Amino acid sequence: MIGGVYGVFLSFDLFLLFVFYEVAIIPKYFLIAIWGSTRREYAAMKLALYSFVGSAMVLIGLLAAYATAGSHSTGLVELAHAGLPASFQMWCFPLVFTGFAILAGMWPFHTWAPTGHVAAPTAASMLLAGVVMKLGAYGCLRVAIALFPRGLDPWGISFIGIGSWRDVFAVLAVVGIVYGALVALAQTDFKFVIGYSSVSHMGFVLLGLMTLNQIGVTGAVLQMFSHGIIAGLLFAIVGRIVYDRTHTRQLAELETMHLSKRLPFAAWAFVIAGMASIGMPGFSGFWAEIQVLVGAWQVNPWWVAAAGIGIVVGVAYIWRAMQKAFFSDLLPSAHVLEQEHEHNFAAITWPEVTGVVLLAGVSLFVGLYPKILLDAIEPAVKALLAGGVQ
Amino acid sequence: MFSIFHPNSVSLLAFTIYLSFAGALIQALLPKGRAALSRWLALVVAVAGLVLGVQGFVAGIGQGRVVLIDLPWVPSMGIRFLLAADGISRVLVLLTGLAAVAGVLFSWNIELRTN
Repeated sequence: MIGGVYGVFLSFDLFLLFVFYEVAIIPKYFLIAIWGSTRREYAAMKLALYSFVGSAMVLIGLLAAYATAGSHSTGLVELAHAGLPASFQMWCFPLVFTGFAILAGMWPFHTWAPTGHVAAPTAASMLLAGVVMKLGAYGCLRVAIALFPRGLDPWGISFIGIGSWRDVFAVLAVVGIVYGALVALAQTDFKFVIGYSSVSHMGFVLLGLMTLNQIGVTGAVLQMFSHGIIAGLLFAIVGRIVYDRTHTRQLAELETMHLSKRLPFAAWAFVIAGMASIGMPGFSGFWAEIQVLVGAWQVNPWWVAAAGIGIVVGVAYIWRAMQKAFFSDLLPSAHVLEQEHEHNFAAITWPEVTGVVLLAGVSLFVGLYPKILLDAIEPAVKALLAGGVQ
Repeated sequence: MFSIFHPNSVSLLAFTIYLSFAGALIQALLPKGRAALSRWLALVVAVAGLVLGVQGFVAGIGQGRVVLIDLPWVPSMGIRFLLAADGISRVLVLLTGLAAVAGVLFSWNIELRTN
């Protein structure tokens, strides 16, 4: 599966990219169906159906592009320069973009993501949120936007401020940001909080892509990286470090367990990951989201205003989860008191410490020195926006 | 920079793919019940992928799109086995490497069907 992911990010042939894309997402079904937990068959099937519909849309678009271009090459560079007719791009763009965006968790096609994340074993949730959702966003950028840029042109008519596919997808992205955050705020299951937060954060990626300007798209790519790291860390803390010891993910039960005292490492790891997640300056998410917002402001300040609500709610749901799961003052239940006397939680193991330090360290490093990634992203985005693929 | 990070060594990035598939193949061939062996192998493969990713990232600094490999694949349709990396790819390959290593570390305790 990981081989497939590497393959997608490195393919510059349309069909090769599609083959790797499928290789990367098909094993998800089995990972969830065999090693999963909560309603795993349902979650696996839902994920599979959404993926297949998305893939089918992408494949139809790709075949149409190949046939229309009439060229004898399927290289991304050649197709971008093939001069596909504007009318063709106008219907092919939304088809391919939506197909990929389903995997990126675009509202309202996001529903596979929280159930999939929750049912998946920890490592699979980390990879689902960390890299597989990025495959979708990457496809939106590398294929949909690069090959069919004219599909984003204005339609010539406008209805309540929406006058192009660009407006449509930007609005969906903003709705995803706010909706994901609000739903995360209402969850009782710790893992669902993180699952919905992914929908919200991926909304920033899609919003950044729809700005179509240098700073917004650069922010979107940085957000892909940043969210991949942070979501992985959050899922690891919730699904592995905490759940393996408490055997519950219900916030109401965790509330009575005094985890900040009994699992101080997990509590502090979550504080750091939470800070990174809400876009605290000093972590990678800050630079990514600020760039997306600045880019979006140049296009439509209303998008930024609405996304701002999502950020505020984002602080609220992380705060709520942190308080309930780790720093609650509630008296422990009799059951927990008894457990505490009988045995303490298993000690934190070296792979857990290593993993937390690795992910938190990278997010912090990129937050303090974002130039290291931006120097790589910026020229590539510039070339991509200037004339399809460089 | 270290001499190992020669500019041309961006093309080593392609080995992230081959290595991951080779790792998966070996996992499938391992005898059942060798959990420790299986997880160490997974870790070694994931770390090797990350090292290649970091190496490719560093080697690619200041370069645009670098073609890694370009072979005909389905010539009648013009489909090629074309791997390349620009700045966006290199950043996301790095992410994949990190996620793979972290994923292995956080599933260290799984005893059920480890292969």
